[in-house]
Amino acid sequence: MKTFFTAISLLILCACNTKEINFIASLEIFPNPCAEQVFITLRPEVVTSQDLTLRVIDAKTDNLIVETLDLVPGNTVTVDMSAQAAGEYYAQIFKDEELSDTDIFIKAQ
Amino acid sequence: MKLISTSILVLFLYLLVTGQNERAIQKFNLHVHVNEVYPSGDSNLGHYPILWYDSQDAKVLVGGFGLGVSYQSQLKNQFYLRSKLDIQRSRYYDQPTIFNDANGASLGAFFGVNTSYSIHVSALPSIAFGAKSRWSFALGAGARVVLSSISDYGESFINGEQTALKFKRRAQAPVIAYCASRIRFNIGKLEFSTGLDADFTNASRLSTQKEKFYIWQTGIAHKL
Repeated sequence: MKTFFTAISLLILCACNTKEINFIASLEIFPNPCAEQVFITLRPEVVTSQDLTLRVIDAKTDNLIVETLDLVPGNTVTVDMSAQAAGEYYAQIFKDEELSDTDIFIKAQ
Repeated sequence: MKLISTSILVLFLYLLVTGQNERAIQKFNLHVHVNEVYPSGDSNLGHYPILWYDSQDAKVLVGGFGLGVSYQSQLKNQFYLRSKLDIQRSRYYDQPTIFNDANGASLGAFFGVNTSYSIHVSALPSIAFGAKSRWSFALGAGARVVLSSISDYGESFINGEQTALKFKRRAQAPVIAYCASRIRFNIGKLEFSTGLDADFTNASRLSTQKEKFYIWQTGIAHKL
């Protein structure tokens, strides 16, 4: 019986032991919230890897809005958002097809 | 992973259907509970308290809660099957976003509060133990159907106008399967329970997002 309760306690403790929010954005996205267009810069002070891929994805539809290959830190990408609906969008950084970081930005009405 | 999810769902549906044929002891229960979501798989998501006072913004934070009905039938001796239907509100902190003006100057990090409403169906095989079989432990499976999911980032000045930044969030998977565990204690017509629902399918339908939720819930039930 003691083992049983220990197992349950451990299960609950493991579930409660979530990671703390440790948010260091690797992308600078401005203006955020955006309207017509948004500028996305890979922060050179956070990201040092080269040849990264930036993908902007609509959180509503999972549709790819833009993909920029061979992005290097410090580069700024301009994304036309005029045709997109208001809502949340994901800017994702991939290194060798592996997702390395995700930032959210908002398109306002 | 898909095979495991499908197998558990089939088992869950089997239990849900076949369990109702046992008529030795049948009980309907009415449940109310509070819940807290612990996201995993994305370190930028955070849990929202069940009840808290935010002295900085001078407001009371009210988290998740729900109510439902369950039907319990005896399978054999100390073994029971409980089929449960819940409607639930759950909350968590979405990934923070840094608001920047048109020149790139930071306006601060904003935490979106995600509020989801969902219907849960679960089948929980249980074993009763302890003095007068007051205690019981249940381990089963369930699925939740997300009816609505909204991210609220508060308000901000957009083009000189105060604008509410509240969006329907369709990134959440519409149906999520989970493993459910409960420990319960009975006194008279009341039953106290606590337990955990652990997702085994992704909480997001976006192919690149792999977050899964652990939903801790504790509540009280009344036998009808």
